[in-house]
Amino acid sequence: METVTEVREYPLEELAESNWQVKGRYGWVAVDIRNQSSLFLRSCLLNSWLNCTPIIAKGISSGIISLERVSAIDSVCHGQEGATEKFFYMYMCHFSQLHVRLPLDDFTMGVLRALNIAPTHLHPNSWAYMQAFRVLCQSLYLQPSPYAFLYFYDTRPRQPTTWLSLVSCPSISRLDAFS
Amino acid sequence: MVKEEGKSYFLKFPFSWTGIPSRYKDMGTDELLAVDKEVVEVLMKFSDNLPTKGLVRVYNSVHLIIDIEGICLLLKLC
Repeated sequence: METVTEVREYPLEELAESNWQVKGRYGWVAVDIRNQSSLFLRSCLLNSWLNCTPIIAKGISSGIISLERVSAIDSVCHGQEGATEKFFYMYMCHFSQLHVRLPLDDFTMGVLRALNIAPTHLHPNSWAYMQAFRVLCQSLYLQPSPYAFLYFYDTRPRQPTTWLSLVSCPSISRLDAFS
Repeated sequence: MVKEEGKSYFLKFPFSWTGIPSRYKDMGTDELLAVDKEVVEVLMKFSDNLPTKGLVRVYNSVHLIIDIEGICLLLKLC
């Protein structure tokens, strides 16, 4: 079993102080997103989970990223907020159920870039379509491409800003819903 | 947190939520590049919906996927 990277921990009070101000700036995001907080409030919880869930692709150095638990007030929609080191949020289901591994491959990054969204902005069920599409293409000796993938879907909703879902067009759908 | 060593791996997508996701709807095949169109045309030959969950499981269990026949067999076993 792979054991991955260190988990840094910051005092909760210190984070709470600065992040309450941050939270007020995200009125443009749907309330249910803003009010969700991570289940991993303690590093020991995150560490024990990381001990049994691989997150780095085989053959890649675990030193490319460090994993940190988020604070009680961080929300996936929050931005970099002046952080000196770049970071992005991920959901644990990306790794545990959808078998996403870091670094993301060119196909996945291409879809995120085409949609202009961060990884947590795309609904996990839509991530499942991406994973399945890649397997399907590879089995057919095809290079999975972002625009070939997006051809099969519409994006919803336009407003408000909440998880973006890919909805398959019934007439051309080739993958059933992940359920 | 992206470390110095990993910067080159993570440059190609937004790290934060944006208020303006791009919209995709009813894209025509004539809007696709030839290479993308070829992928779409091959996949359109499938008459039925394929099981997304089964394919995701296959992705985890098989590292070297041989071909579509192997996939079909694995999906039957899932």
